Amino acid sequence: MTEPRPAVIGGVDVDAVAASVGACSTVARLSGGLLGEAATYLPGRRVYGVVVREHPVVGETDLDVRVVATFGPPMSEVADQVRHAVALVAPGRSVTVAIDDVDIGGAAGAAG
Amino acid sequence: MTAPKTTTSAPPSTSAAPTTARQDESSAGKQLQTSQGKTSIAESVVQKIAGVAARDVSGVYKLGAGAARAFGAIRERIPGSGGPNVSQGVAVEVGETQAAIDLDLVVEYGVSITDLATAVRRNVIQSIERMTGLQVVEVNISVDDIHLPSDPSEDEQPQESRVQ
Repeated sequence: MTEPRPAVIGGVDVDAVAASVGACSTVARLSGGLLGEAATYLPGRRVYGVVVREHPVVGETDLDVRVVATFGPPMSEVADQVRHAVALVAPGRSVTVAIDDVDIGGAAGAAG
Repeated sequence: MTAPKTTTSAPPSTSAAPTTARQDESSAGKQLQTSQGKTSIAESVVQKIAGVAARDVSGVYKLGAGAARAFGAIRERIPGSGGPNVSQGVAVEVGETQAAIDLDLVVEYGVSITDLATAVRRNVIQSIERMTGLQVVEVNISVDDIHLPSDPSEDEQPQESRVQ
């Protein structure tokens, strides 16, 4: 019952998405939103910044990815890079990219 | 919610006769009734599995509605009561091949309740279908309370005795 399971929801490997997006040069980190509510809830842990929603009727899955960008590059570039990173591990999904904050290097930022 | 049905790996049934008809694409529940006898699973079994699976999901603080939690808190202090009751907040109905589950949850402050409910439902369905072979027809979730970070926890801080 508590054996480790791959975190695959609606055919999307949540850990792979998080790792791929987190590795982007324009992404400081993934963001859990204001309260840390933007997460995938798994047995024993959460993956912040990646939300997979399955439509019960349409049968499609939507991906929400929330990130904190690094200071400097244009936001459109950040979004493009994130979209590319997601497409590598979860091709053919519609992805909503949200940039929650910009990391200015100090101790600032949203939860998550 | 395609996950529960497609990922349910039916354990190789030891005595399944090849004549067993499988019209349904879901094999859950089918291996419980064979031509050589049937397997029955008690409600308390399903209750415990559902309780453990729901509690396991990150963001669930505890299970049980108000009254059950109050009685549970007293019950846990009685020596020999066996500690926390994993079935608290879980009501089940079990038939021959199907099960329905009602859960009462207390969630942590800051979670997305809809997403958490989906995650709980997924984990409960997977656990029950894998372990028992019963087909889960519904999991109703009622969120009875939200646990604030400032709330004193009843579990972690046992009340001090008033007498020495």
